[in-house]
Amino acid sequence: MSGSRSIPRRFVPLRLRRASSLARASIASGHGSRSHLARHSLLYRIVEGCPPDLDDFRSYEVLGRPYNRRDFFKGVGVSMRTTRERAIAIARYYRQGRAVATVDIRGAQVAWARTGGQGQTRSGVWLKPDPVVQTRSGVWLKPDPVVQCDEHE
Amino acid sequence: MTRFVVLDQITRNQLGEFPTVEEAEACLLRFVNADPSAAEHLEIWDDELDVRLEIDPAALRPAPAA
Repeated sequence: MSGSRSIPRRFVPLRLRRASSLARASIASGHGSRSHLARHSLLYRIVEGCPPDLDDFRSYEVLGRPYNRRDFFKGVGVSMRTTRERAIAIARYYRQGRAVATVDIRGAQVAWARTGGQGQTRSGVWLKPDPVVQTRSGVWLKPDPVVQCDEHE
Repeated sequence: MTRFVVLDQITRNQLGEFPTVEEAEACLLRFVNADPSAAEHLEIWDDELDVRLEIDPAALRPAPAA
């Protein structure tokens, strides 16, 4: 898989935003009052344990796993939740990981969109350009977007 | 309302949630068609009954043309 592929125009979600314009975008779209994300620019990622490592943020693209171009965003992205409570519930329910990392995506070179249905708390974060690949220091991002990690088991 | 959730246990990504199991199976099958080894770590869950569905990806494959 090449990292330079073009994004099929019809797959671009309407609410796809740059992280840096997160709060403004959420307010403009009328979701400011109920969006934890808009207030704090925080997202929650289920991880194996604390502290999380790079393997906790691998997308299909980074892993080199093939996927259908119809699933482009699922292939280059990672799933996150907009509330810590929901992330913990999902982690327990689906047995996905022992901990939840709080991620501050302000300033990160990522794009995001709320991908769950109405009333749900799922978000997709698309790591493009991929910060895992691009980093030169061995640190995931500068500044490191993982601001907290809590084990729930 | 029941939702069928497609999960990938390798990336911990939720690949979709659908109102019918057929749609969830179609999503899973797309990933399996792209990479047959994906069948080992893709799951479909019934969100209401709190159960993981037993899915045989081979059974989902469309019959080859005669």
